[in-house]
Amino acid sequence: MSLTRAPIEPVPPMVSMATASWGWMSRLFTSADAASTSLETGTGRAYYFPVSVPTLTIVRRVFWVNGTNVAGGNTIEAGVYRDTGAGVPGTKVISGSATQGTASQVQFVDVTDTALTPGLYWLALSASNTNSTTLFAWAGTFAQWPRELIGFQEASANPLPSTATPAERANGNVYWFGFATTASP
Amino acid sequence: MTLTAAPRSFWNPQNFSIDTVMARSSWLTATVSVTANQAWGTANRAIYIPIRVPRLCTVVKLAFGNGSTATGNYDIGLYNAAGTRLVSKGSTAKGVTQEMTVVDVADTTISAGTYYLALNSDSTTDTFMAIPFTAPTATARGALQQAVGAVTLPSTATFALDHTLAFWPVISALLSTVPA
Repeated sequence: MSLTRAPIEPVPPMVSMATASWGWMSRLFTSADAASTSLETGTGRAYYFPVSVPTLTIVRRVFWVNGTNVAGGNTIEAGVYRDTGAGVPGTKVISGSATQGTASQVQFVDVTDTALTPGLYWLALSASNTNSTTLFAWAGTFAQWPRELIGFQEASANPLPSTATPAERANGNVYWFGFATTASP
Repeated sequence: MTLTAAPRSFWNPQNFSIDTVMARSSWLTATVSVTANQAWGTANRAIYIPIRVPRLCTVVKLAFGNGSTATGNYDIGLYNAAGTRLVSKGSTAKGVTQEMTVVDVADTTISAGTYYLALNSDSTTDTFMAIPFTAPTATARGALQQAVGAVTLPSTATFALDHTLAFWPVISALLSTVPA
């Protein structure tokens, strides 16, 4: 039996927790949009959020969404981790870092083009310091959800480690960052 | 037994439209609200919104959510991910009736993949149906733009970012319902 019209999953230009069918943000969340949010206290804390990659995908850039207060001039690093097979982040696949920009914009960092085969991955982000460092994030109702649904965290993980040591999240913020499958703009 | 066409009801129901808002054709994941009268804001600025097309289909019409203010012209079109215009309406006078304005275009068959629906207006005050987003989250979701310099959509898009873009226009592509 041959089937010539199997559906495929198109690849979105931006992949984050806010990407339908890839990120795990639920449509049940009442907040329609994210807001500028300070990074949680804990210098060098890494955040890991799950994404499902349903088709072969090329990571070309990483990005984060700067908030309204970015005066800290700290270094932000974003990356992608493989899943260990047990539903937790494992080894780092790729990451990129830069000094946080001075405007509330989507900030991109070019990385070596890296292929992701279908599977579960973990978006990761860490900052060198948290003073005057804001990103867009979803918050509030997430405190009601099981921590495992909204990812993991790791202390003193800047720069991002080659292997994650995930711990239970202590806060409900889901920061907006991820990777781009386009090289520009 | 050889099947040369996947049974429609078993594999993947045929969409009758693809648009920038609804599930199956957009990558939006938040519970969003739509405003009926979003001012375009910048004249001759084309906005390109990514859409997901999961299977081969034929686009027969394009549509957008029309607001009640109309002083100028618009153009609407479909682009592939490389920025090549596949089909468009051309410069057209905008109406004032708040409805989904549907325009006929040349039937255009597209394969599965990522595309962009595009809308342009030569008026800063003409209004359209759109989702308001706090900037720069429309950009974070994949919205692109171009200062075209005219209302007619270009044959080749020069995609650019606009971190101040604060809305996501409602644009649709209506598909042929004739089974392929």
